[in-house]
Amino acid sequence: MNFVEKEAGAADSASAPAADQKVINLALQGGGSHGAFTWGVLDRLLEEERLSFEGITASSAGAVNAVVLAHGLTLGGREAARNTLRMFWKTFSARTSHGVMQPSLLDKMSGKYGLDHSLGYLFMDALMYFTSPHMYNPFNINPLKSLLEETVDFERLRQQSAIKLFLGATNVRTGKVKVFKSEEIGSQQVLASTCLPLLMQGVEIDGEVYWDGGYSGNPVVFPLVYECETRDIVMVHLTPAERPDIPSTSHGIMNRMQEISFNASLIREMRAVAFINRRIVEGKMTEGKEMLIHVIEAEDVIREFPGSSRLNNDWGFLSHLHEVGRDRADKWLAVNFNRLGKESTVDVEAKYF
Amino acid sequence: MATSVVNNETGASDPQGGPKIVNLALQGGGSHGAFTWGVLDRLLEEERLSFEGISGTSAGAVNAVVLADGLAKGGRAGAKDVLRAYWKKVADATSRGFFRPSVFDKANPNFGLEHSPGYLFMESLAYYMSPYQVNPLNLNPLKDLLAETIDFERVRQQQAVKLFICATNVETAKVKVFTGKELAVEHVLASACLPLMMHAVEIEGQCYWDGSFTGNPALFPLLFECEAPDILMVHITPADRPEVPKTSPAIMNRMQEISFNTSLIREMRTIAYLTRLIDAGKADGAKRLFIHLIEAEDLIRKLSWSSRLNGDWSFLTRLFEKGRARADKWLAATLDRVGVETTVDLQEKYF
Repeated sequence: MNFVEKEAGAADSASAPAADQKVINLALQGGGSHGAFTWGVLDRLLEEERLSFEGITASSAGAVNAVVLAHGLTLGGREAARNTLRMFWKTFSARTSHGVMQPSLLDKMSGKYGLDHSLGYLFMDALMYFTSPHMYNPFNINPLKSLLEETVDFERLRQQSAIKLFLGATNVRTGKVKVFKSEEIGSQQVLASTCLPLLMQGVEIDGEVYWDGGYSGNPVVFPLVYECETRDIVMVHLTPAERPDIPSTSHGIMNRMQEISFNASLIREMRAVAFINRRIVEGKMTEGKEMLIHVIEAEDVIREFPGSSRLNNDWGFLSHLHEVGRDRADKWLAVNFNRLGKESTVDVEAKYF
Repeated sequence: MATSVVNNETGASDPQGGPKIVNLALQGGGSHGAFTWGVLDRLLEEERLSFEGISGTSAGAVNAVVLADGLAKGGRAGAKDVLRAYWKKVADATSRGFFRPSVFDKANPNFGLEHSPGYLFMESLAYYMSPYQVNPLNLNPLKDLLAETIDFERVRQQQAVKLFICATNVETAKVKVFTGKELAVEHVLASACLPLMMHAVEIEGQCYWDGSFTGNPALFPLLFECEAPDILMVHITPADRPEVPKTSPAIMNRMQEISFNTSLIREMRTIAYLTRLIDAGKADGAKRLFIHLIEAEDLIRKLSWSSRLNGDWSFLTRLFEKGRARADKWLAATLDRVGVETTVDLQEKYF
């Protein structure tokens, strides 16, 4: 039943039960529908019997993937987790893509999976600059909430999760990140982590109101450093940090402002990780551990999709992203599996400085 | 003396009542930067205190560069004069310009521009037309203002303070820190470039936006490139706001405020972590920082978001006076603790 063997979770990979057994932490970014890429990555990683997960830190769509995965594991291991993830994304698409936000014929023809010609999207987009969700959706109807509650047995998850979960949300009052841990996670905590404030009302938990974790950590790395044993962190990047074209339309500019904001705290945190790593390697720090950083990403693919594609839940688009995710994870495993537990497989300074 | 503001050879403050040296970290905030001007004006009067490095973003970058130019031109008094001259020019340009407050705004206790026809027009326009469409010739009044006030050649030559000007690289999403020797008007404009109002600023083939997205301001240059262990933060972007915004403009304002504090919060947390290790004797050779804070959160929270674009002289001088008063209190309570200890509860403020 237990996915991560006790011994494996408690020691570094050298003393793990089998010599080729590796334990990693995952850091999952948000990105709306683009989270289907992460689903593809997880789907492929779950097939790899030699690999198991200790902790997952996640924001927004990453948080959704994390709880669905963890719930699936409590049901019956890897296979159940893979099935639960697929069922979740399939149902999510079926319930949301027939609504106002479906791509129009023009969107489908453009091959970029945007919603820029969808009447519903254009209407919503114009609406949200003038009226807030408090006005256009006063009953606060959120299709994600019911789907999460149908899919995930949160009570069981809080009791039995084999994975340490850390879901990031942003406290609206203080601007600081709030990390919800396994034993306190319910549907409200996941919704808080995914709450885009122009599309939904802030989520209230114990008297505090929360917005999407992306504003203050996408995702936060420190819980993996402080609360997990394994030193390996596999980052699954969805928010494009690099974009060679300078935007010159209002939409393009606003989209890029958000991408930059949603990467800012991660970049700053990775710089801190690199700084501390260097001091440890130089023998100048006698506490703390060198973290080993790995990245699975599809920036080159995601860059090509317009910002509006984050709201495109069309099954064709989601399964395409899922395939890309599987493919990237497959290649990553082939190249990097043996280096886990030994070294970082990405040049942290080059990527984040 | 122009080049002797920092004259202590070790770069560290004298723990006994002698000279004190701090690095300054100046946040952005448009017109709210007049608060920072007031803070600087008062600090410059304190002969025991001098500055080694200044990291500044946006309005903080403007204040930093104007201050450095003024110090080089005429010492402390010169710096005070040039700062005042700059902010007066902002007010003069405003009184002629598009964003001047209407009589309704002047009667408004939150100093907003919600009744200024120019502001309302721009605000609604910005969602549909980018500055590339509205202002294809890229006319930028700030550029003229800076060019008229600041002698950039003198800024590049001066050795009174080390300048670190933060901007955001649009292509890579990373912070870019420009330093003293390379500074020209473009670098300051880059640091202050709000992308829905101005074209991105191109410097050596790279495009830049306001530094606030990635460092408001960045603290690492003060850690790595300055000797003095004290950092005095002048905080003008409200981190705390008790009421939850429910209208679209308020939501967008708060989204931006949160984004504009996020890297600073993360960097302060790293500093707190390192400090704990240093104090426990577990980090050899790392510099132990002392953090201090002068803030205007409670004042700025009461102002309208649009007041960041309000350059009315009565508003600017009001913020200036508040800044002076806060700096005065800070000096009385804290100057003796510079070089000795951190005087802000980092845990409370940034965790």
